[in-house]
Amino acid sequence: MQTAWSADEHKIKQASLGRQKRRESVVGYSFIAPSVILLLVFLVLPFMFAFLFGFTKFNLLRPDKIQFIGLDNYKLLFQDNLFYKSLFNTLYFTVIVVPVQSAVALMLALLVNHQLKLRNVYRIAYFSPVVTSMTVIAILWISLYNPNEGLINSALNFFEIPKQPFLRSSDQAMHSIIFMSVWQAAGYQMMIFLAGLQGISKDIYEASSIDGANRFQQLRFITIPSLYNVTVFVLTITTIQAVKLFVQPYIMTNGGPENTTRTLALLIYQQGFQFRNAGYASAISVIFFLIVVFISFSMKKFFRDR
Amino acid sequence: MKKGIITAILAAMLITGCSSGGQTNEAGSEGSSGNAGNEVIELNFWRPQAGEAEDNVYVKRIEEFNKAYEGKIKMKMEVITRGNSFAYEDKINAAVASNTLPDVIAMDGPNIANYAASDIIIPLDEHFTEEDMNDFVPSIVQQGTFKEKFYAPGLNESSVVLFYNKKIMDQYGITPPDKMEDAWTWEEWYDVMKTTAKDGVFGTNMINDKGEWMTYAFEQLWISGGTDLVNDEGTKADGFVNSEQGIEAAAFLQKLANEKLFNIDPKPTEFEEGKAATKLGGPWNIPGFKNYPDLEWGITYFPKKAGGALTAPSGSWAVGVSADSEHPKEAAEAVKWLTNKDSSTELAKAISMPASRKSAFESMAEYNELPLRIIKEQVTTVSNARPVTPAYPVLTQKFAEALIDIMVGADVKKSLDNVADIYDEEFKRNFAE
Repeated sequence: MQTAWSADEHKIKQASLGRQKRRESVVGYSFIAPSVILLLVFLVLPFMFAFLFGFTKFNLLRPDKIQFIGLDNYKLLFQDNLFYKSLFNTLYFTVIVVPVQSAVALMLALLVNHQLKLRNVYRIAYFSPVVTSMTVIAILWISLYNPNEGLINSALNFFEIPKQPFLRSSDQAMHSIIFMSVWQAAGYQMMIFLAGLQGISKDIYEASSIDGANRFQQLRFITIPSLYNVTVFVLTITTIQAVKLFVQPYIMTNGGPENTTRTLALLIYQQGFQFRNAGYASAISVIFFLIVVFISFSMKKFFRDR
Repeated sequence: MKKGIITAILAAMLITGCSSGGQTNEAGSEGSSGNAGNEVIELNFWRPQAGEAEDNVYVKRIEEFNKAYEGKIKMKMEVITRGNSFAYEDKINAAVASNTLPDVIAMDGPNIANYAASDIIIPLDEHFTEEDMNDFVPSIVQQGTFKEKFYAPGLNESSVVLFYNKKIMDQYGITPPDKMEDAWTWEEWYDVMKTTAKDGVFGTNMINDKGEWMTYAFEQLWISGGTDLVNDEGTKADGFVNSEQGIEAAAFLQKLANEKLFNIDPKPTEFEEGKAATKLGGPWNIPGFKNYPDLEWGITYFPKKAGGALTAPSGSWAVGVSADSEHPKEAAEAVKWLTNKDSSTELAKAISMPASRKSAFESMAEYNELPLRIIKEQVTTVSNARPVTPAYPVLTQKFAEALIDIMVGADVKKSLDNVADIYDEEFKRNFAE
């Protein structure tokens, strides 16, 4: 009797607890519903479409004539020299920009972290390119890089260095874009590093200077190790930004000269919107997606293992 | 990681076409159309936003149309911002996908074949008399015709001429020709550039932009040599864009670039400021010249190849009837109205672009005298429309890319061969029947 009663009570308790839990989860789900729905509609669904379109011949102007062609787009893709070239350019840009930009950002952060006069002026100066539209900056740099009368060439002229073609040369175009991209974006990573730097307790520096550590040793053994997590974050977002490279070559070189600045994003745009081959462009974007996933996973694994 | 996925999905979204519809303004009177029994047919008309002067001509002409057809047809214009140069075309693409095209659409000349091949617009042959067709300047008929059917007439024409700085010409004792038979050849033009390119002055200014301009202007060097970018049917580029004459034309451009006779990244006002002796440009440049009182300018013909044909670029926005229209007959009436002599004359007067009808030229005396006479002569006799082909977007992009590559030193033949390969491959894959 006793046991039966207690079992009943237990059940009731259990049930009400379950109800409460359920109610809680309903509330919880309703809180995340807006963002989940938006994500589904605007991110997941379009990607599913892109995945499906990748198997079709689909002229943007002829949605009625969409045609299933199996893996033809992918076959074409793997024979397309321009695809490999674009992939190479994208990776080349990433491999150079990520370490250089992060290093520059760290140096700037260390610089403006000191008790300099006009410290805020420097901070604003380094950060201002970040908040300016990339399109505006790209157009500005086209004139800086002007092969005949650009400011940079005038400066070189002062040092009696001959005029350089910059964006109008297959050898220099990508490097010119890399240089201006680092200049433009380093300020953002600088801010993140700066936040990290200010999170390091002063006590550690004081303790180390009592132990006789010099400035360099402090940097090497305190600052850099303390910034590990911040660095991982900076490297990850910089990589993601870098593989997306689009605006600079789109505005400054249109992928030229001789496709030396054509990136995957630019190739996708050209095929999809300019040539209206939505099917083929979707196939490229699926491959692009897989590459980004692969890079992100490897980076995550690399940093977790350390 | 999550960000990586999101990034990639965003890239994918680019493809699925989240087109940004431009802001729209409506023009045209909003009169009530409520008289019972007699139903008024409503027509929608889309066109991209232009300068105020041009927009006003359309508003006025449509008001007049609605008055003339009161109680029968009412046309409403929707002006779509172009933003960058593709926003309008993007909107058309989106409307095609959702079957929401208006009755009457404005489109850029080279797109006509593309839209006609995709059955987006319908042929209008039955609505235009022979007299009409003879009154249109030849390039308008050429640009509006696809597979022997006429789809879309233009309101105005365009042309490219060689402007010259009179002071610089006088300084070197050069007299640019003002008769068609004396038009400069490439070599003569080259000599002029060679003579005048000194002390920070370029021999010419000829890069308006590195996109559509490249095809629009420089296809003529191919035509003057007796070839073209693609064959007449538009099915093949190999043997045309990379023909012997084509290679010669591109090599000429490369020579000018190598000798630094023009600036590949010019300031838009280089010629106006006296920093270039000549300039390849169009009537649209003329209004801006007024802001430079020191500039004395003249016009001469688009240079031709020695022994080749005199030729000049052409092409303009045109209007057609969409295949989605439920009232094609009335829509055709509207197209006729928008491209008749009055509309053509009024637009030509408002924006100083040449008219698309010979009869309109006759009503404008200024085109009978120098310098504008040169423009009229080119438009009415030697103009050529850009290639009529459904794969035009690929052709123009790749051709423009190749010309820039060639100007900065790429191998001429290899670059042109590449254009031919890509075009032929594209045509075979997507348009061959």
